Amino acid sequence: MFLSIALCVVTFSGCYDNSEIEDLAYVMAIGIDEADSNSFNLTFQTAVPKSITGVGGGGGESTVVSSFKTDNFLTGIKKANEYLSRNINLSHTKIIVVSENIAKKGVAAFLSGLQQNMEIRPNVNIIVASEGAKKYIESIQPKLTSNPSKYYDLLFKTYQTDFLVPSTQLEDYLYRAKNYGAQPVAIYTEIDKAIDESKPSSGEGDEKSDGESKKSGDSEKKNMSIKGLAVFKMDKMVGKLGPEEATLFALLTGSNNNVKIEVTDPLDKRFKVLGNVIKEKASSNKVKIKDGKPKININLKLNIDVQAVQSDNNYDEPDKAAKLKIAYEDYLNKGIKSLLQKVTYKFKSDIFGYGEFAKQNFKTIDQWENVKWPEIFPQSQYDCKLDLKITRQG
Amino acid sequence: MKNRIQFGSWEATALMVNLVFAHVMLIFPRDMVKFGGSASWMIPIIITLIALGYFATVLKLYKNIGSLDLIDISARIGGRTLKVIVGLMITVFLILTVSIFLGGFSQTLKIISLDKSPIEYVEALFFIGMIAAAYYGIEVVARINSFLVPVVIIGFILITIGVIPAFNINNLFPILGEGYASIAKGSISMLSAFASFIILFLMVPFFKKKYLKRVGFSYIIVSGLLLVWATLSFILVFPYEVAVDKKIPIYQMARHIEFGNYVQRIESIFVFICSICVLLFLCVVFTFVIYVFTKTFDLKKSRPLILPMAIIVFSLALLSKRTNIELLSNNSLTLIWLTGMILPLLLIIIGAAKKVGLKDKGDIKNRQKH
Repeated sequence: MFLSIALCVVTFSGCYDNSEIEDLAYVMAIGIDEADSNSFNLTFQTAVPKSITGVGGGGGESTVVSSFKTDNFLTGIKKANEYLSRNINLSHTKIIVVSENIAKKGVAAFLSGLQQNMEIRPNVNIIVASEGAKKYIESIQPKLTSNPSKYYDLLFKTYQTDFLVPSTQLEDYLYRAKNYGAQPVAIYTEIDKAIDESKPSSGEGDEKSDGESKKSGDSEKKNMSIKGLAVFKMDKMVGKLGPEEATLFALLTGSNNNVKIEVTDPLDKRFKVLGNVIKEKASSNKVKIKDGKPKININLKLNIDVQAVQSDNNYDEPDKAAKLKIAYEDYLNKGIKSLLQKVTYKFKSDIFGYGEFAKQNFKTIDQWENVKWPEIFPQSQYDCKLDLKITRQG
Repeated sequence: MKNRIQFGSWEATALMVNLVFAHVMLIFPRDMVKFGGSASWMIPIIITLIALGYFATVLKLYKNIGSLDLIDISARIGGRTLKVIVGLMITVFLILTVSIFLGGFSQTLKIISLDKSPIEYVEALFFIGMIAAAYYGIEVVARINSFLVPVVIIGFILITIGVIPAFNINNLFPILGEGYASIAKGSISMLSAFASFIILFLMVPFFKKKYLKRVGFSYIIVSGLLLVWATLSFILVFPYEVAVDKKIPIYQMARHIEFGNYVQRIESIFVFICSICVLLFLCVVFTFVIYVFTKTFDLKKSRPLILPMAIIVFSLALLSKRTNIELLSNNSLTLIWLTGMILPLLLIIIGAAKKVGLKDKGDIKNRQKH
């Protein structure tokens, strides 16, 4: 009897708060663009459940994009509620996109307000769009699937985004933006002229188009893609890393222990060799502070699994494998050195999180805070040791 | 008032462990971080050691007390007057405890899940559970605890195992966190997690004195391990700068669990196990409110007391809501919480000095001679 009462208490407590799926507008992506002086444009990409499930014919667009000019996030949500005649729900939000202009001025104020919302997940990805948030959101109409949620999940798992790092996610971003041990990064997107997506020229789409301007708009929509990482100092964007630098960044920070890197074939400069670079657990970072300057020792132990060779060279042979190893060492040494210099001396931002390792040198939080890590980090000296093994030749 | 109700050491241990574990489910790990920073995991170790020392001392003193509970001890020490004073003090302490937890947990549930429901509705659901528990009595509540508490603890352990991939060892540095002084202050303040000792010493007649040692030590060790593991896993997932702002620590940890496309959004399980845990906590404490009051005034029937007491608790919980959830971790309330350890210690020291438990044996021997 008591048990049944107890179970009723636990299970029926949600009845008052129940809400049907049709009552809610599930926001997949939030965009923040610059507007007039004290206001900004808030863009919501909202899922259309009917089109996703195919119930009642389906077939239409699986998402709706709507923008609202507002001076704060809550007012923006209210406007969206009124416009969509549904309650905005952020529990399925996958990305927050900010325009590059806003990122350069600081985004913590926007994102802190968002994090207070219990619905939003801590692993929402932060994206900086060079061409503006709304433009980027409009460009990412889900391809090959009608489910926008699945599309975003797959987008961040594909080969092109090998360099994706957890620190681009909302919770980690905000931690880094407000503290000294590490600085934030975000995914960076811009127009990619290398992509040419073609659709059948005849059919309804063309008949409905409004002329040349519409066509050029569609062309831009297709060409946005992830191009690297945006580097921040506290909450302000100070620079960007290209795809290769972002891949090395992921390798250095251990956020992605398995990346694909291609080098010029050492025996035939016309071709490339593609290897899967796996970071071993024995890799380590040690930070010491001498005379007020950080000394950072990076010990990278890597296994390279050669996956594709364009030339006819057989890298099973020990002599040739040794040359390939040297080629990889050269590539990684130069790339890592260049990346460390660029981030440390040019951007002066500890996106690697070496400050987190430096904390080990201090007994109390007061001692650590007195060091003022962001001020001494640009004086860091690096000692990077690479230990490569070609484990299997393809 | 003689006790015919009896249950074993397993039931008693489960019941006691849940009284500490309810703190973990609400705010305990965050409070640890407030005091210790990156060294917050040290505080539960220290308070567990203090609790072990406290209980070992009390156990020695209990040799002269027999199977008496705190109400009996106070009656033997100072007669009916002291019995009424102590009984009322314990009743007020337990009413405050159950009210603050009812208010605090209803707030928590409203934040994470029932945002549209009025707080009175959320509290009313637990109110019904408490009334049912008091109606059926301590034995039923203890036996239900014995099989539901392991389920709650397994659920909690699964959540913490699920966040192991998110552990970052760098979060434990600087190793001494906020420093020795802050850790010491936190250790004294957070001893309040063991305020439930008072219920252990009210429960002695139910499981007999011979099991007191087993129940007491198992309760402290299991609770201590849970406190340490909860705090350690919390600080390993969230750096101390972030952790201090996390209102519902275990819930926030559960939000981080994600294995592939299938195991996601585990926090709904947290809501379920947390509700069971807190409901059991409220039922136990409220049942003891009725028990202590009835015993203090030697009332023949306890059931007529249930509804009026429940209404008092409900009203106080609504009042505590008007302050805020922080009432659970308010430092100024620490002394009130510590009543749960200090009052039993004082009574047991005086009772042991007067050898109140040996009076029965002496009386029996005298009767046998005659």
